[in-house]
Amino acid sequence: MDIDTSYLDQFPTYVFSEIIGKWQNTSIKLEPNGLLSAENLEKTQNILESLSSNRLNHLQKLAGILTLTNVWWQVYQLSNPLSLSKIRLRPRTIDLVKLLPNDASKITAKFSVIDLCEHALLLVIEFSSRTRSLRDNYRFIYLPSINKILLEMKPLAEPLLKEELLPYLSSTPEKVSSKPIRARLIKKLAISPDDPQHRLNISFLKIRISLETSGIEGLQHIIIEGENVIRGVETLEQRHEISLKFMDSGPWVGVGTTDFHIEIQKGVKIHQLETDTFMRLNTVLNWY
Amino acid sequence: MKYTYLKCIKDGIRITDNYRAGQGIQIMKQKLVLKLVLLGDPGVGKTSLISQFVHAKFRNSYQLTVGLDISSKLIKLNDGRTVTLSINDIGGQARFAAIRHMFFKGAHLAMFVFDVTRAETLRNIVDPWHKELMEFCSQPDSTRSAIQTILVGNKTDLEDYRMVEDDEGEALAKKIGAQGYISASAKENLQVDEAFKRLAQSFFDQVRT
Repeated sequence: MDIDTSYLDQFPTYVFSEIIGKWQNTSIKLEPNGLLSAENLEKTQNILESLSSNRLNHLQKLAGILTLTNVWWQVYQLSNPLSLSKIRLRPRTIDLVKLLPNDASKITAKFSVIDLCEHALLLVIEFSSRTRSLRDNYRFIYLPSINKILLEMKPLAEPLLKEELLPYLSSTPEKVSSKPIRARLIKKLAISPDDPQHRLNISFLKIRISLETSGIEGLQHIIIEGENVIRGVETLEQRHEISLKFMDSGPWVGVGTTDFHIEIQKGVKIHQLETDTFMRLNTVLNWY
Repeated sequence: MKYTYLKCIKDGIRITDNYRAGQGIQIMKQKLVLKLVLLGDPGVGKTSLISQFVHAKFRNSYQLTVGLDISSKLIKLNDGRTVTLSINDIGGQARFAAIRHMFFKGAHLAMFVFDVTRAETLRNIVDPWHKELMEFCSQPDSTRSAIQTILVGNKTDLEDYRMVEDDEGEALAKKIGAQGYISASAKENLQVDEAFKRLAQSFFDQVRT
């Protein structure tokens, strides 16, 4: 029987291993490169074939919530660690009047937590209403070791965090502050540490050329892409004995690796939901 | 009649920029004019700072300064003294390097300007900008052995894009012997007057000491 595996494209290996391990009461070992990578594909298909249709449906529904790779996240700092013991798939009523003054509906919301890996938890608020055709979810990634929380960029994300999620998860008043991405972080990320061998492989660099600097309309950004753009530019400059001055012509406003992409006024985008990615993201976001 | 420089300032006598080092001060029309030059990379906002200071206007579009623009403004300092600043806006492009030193002649004050969103513009303050000015001051036919200077970090309104911290500016100001560092925004008119007035005031403070 051919089983559709396409929805597992972005499914974190860790989450899949945990769920299947629990269902089959055994530990599942998969390489942390994605379920559909060459190393895991056969094993993944064998596992899926052994599952009931109910469980396949459950995975498919979960895959929808775990579609996170095209999401821009905003970074917030928490004053105290969250206590996650309260989140156990417990329905709760949220009064949306507070958040949407023109909407008098009381909406049932289900709070849940999914361990993406040891360094990151996904907190989800799923809304549903019987009286209105409303189904939506709000997602937050909590990074416990640096006590930061990432908010999916959506209109109600911040009030939901401040007025619903934090009071629910914390017995003490939480202080939460936005940590906008700034050019200093981008530069630090691209060229720190000083030892080039330990630098991240930067595959994308976006340089802002403002009107005040360039003096002309129409030019806003210079983007360079490649396997390792910093090393590429440095080597090119040395070999050809030239200076690519565009690197200094404006602030660096966006930087990307194979794991993630960080950009001023947009936030953070995570390309892979694997343990190594979150470890590196923790390190980077801990820099400010 | 020739006064010593110090006596002139102490007596509150207004002087012109005809002052020549070691020759005393010529008093003309009872008006004190200080010549100020602005130095810094292209696009750091030298013209915008002057436009905001002199005309209280800011233009979003960028127009290249060809060679030199001169404007002036009468200001009142904290101690009540009034002084006219003759402000020389010098084009930052490398192609003006050969003629730039001519505009330094007779300058009493220099404002080094960099863009806080471009770290390179801060590095360039040391070389070429400060270096060029020092080379001019050390020439035998220079009119002045010391020019009062200040370092200004412009475009602080672009907080998200900022790549230079205040402490880096302060450290560089100290290194080049400037009177101080001011972070400013020509667009938002933040600390612009402060920068010009502080520089002018430093001229009289130096004379007093």
